[in-house]
Amino acid sequence: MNRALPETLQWQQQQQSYFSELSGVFPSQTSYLCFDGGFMSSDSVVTREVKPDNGLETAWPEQGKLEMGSFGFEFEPCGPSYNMNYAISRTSSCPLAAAELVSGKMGSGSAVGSGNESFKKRKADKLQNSKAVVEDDSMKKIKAYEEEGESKITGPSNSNKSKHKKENSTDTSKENSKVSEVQKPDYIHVRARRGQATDSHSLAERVRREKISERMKYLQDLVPGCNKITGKAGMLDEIINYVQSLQRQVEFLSMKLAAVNPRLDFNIDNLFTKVEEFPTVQEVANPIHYQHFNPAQEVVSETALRRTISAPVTIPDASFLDSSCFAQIQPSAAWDDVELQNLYNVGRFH
Amino acid sequence: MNKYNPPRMNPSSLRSRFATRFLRTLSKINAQKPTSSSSPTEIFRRYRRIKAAADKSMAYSVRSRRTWSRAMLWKLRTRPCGRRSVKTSTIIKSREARKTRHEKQNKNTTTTTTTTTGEDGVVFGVEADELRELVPGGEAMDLYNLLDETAHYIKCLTTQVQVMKKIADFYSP
Repeated sequence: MNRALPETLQWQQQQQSYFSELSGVFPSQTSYLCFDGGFMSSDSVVTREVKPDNGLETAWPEQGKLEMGSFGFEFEPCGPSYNMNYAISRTSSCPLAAAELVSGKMGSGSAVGSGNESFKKRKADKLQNSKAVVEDDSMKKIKAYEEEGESKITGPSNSNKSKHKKENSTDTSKENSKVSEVQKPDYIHVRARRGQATDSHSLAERVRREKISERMKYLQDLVPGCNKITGKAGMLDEIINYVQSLQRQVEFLSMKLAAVNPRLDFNIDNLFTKVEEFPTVQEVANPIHYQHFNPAQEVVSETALRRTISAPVTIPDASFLDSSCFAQIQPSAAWDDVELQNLYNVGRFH
Repeated sequence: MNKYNPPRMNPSSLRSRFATRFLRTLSKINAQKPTSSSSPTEIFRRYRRIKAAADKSMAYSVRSRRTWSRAMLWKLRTRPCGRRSVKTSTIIKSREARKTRHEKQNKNTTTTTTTTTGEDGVVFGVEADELRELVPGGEAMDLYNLLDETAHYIKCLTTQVQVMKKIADFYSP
């Protein structure tokens, strides 16, 4: 939502008091968790098919050269100053990044709770979720972030600033997203949480896991009846079964279509009726043909059926499995106009 | 009199794209129908063609935006359509065998990387392989992209099933 953006802009100007603004902006949200939620809404609009995730546990690797690098991510070691930029960049210019990058970013970003939290991985420090702790260290962090911010304002390059991060390893790590400048970084911030290992591999693994779990949640919504299953293995089995059943259904339907000989007309008539019978409504588009389908859908289908049934009358040997079926197809070109006219007439009567 | 405007289809939606293409191919297939259309072999042959047409229409509707559609198009293009010579089919098979072997190696490496760290890799090891077999083009993908492709593939499959169901219902009341 838009309310997040002006707030972030405010923070850009006032880095010193960012935290007070933060608390002011989200008065009811005092914890890291809530802050996360505030931005989730803004980014959920932008994220592509990715659902906003309560990614409290996201930890971004600080070094881009991890195996995450294979995903096409660039990781930014210094956290907080970039998360807001990241959020802003994503909200402001979604199509900017390449498709994969965006999808990957979105995936990871949403995994991080829409990528609002800036994670900074410090060697010795862990994350703390309480706001009080954050406030205590806010001043130290601000200085650190300022330094990092200046160095980071290099644009959306994929630079891996791990060494820079190591230089600032003295400060305690925080999870708030702080805003420095509006940038479009392509990196993901990772932060080690309290009680978790901080080495790069586990962090990268954690990020992967969160992305994967977020994907699984999306799949859970796609596959019907998956809500009760909680385990990942069970979910995957369900997904596999569902895909298999869908493929089998396609095979069965194609077999059915092969067996059911096409009666007579095919293309246009079928198209019209089928299109009208579709339950889901997409955007309103008005091709000229469709405008005549005013009556209810059943009427249309009835007329279509009536026409298909009446068509054999014109041709004597109308049995479906007959060789005459073949002959019936030939005049179909002429029928198209007739059918269209019939349909138009039907439309006019309503 | 109230003008009832029924909801209209977006002509460029996946569903309409697939429906158009599939109907066109279907009519072509049915136009080619030989005289003896009720023999099982004929029906089976037609079934294969229709199924290929369905897959092809779906893959074409998605263009090359997705890995699975690209893999499916590639598979459909290189797949011997029954009339090709045995030589080409064996060549294709050997190429495919090499490809799958290479992909299996990739799969192994990816699965090993997933199994080294974290329990997720171990959990996903077996099922991920099954999923890779199901989703076309999924052999050489890591788990995250595999799930992504699976989601889109499921969406397209459901569209395909709905459209085909409607067609089948229309022609066999």
